[in-house]
Amino acid sequence: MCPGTATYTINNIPGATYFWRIAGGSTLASTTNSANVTWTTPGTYSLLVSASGSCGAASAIDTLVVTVINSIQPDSVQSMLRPNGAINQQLPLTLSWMPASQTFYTFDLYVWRADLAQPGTPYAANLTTVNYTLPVNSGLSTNQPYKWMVVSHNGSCTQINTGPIQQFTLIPLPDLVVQNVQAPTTAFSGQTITINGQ
Amino acid sequence: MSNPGPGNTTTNQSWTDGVFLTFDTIPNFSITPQTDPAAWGQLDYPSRPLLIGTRPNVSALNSGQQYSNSINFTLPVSIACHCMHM
Repeated sequence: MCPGTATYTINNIPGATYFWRIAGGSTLASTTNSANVTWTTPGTYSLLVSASGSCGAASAIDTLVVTVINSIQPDSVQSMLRPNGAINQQLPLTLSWMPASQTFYTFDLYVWRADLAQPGTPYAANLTTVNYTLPVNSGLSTNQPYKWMVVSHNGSCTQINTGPIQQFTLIPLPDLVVQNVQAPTTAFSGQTITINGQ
Repeated sequence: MSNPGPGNTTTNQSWTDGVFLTFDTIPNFSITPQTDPAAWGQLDYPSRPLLIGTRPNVSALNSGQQYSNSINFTLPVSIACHCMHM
């Protein structure tokens, strides 16, 4: 588990008094069937609990092995591509980034219109790769600036690090139209006509 | 063909310009156009446009650019209507 406080509970025996302790460490204050433990240092611990009543010896000891992992805040991503301010980008568009270290991270990708507020929900979540391709049917508009950002997650712990915000603009599209079509206003069957257009 | 849009076509981009005849004011392109003038008729139902010819694009079109093109076509002798549109 990640460093932090966790609550442990065992079956309740009416009238019993519980004794919680960490093997090789301290005794916990709780005398009920539930105890809070704050884990601060990575390592493997044994959480022990026993119960006793008014008319007998203490029960057998129940043990739970707890592994506290080393949780380090992930580094911010860097080397984001496309470059900040890139214009004339075309879909499908691959965005990529690099974590500062080789530690395994997962990433959330945020993409939003530059003239709107950053959304609370990522465009793509829990990515295990260092790139993501926005598909042709992504719904992104042409000739429109978008901002994007990558948030790093450190394994199962909730520590995150938000990367820089960059911007790209999708290429404006042409709009092909036919105009000034010139054709005879009248013609007869079998006649060859010339049609001009611009 | 003109390009009043904000973007340019790319230099390696190609497309085809097509010319159609139809009996309808608004051509019905929801069905496949007829390509055989001899088989095309005013009484066809549903009415379908007749593709009378195609031309490849002359050039790429940057925003604001245009090109001209033309096509010759011999009207089917089987058609006796005064109401075709292009």
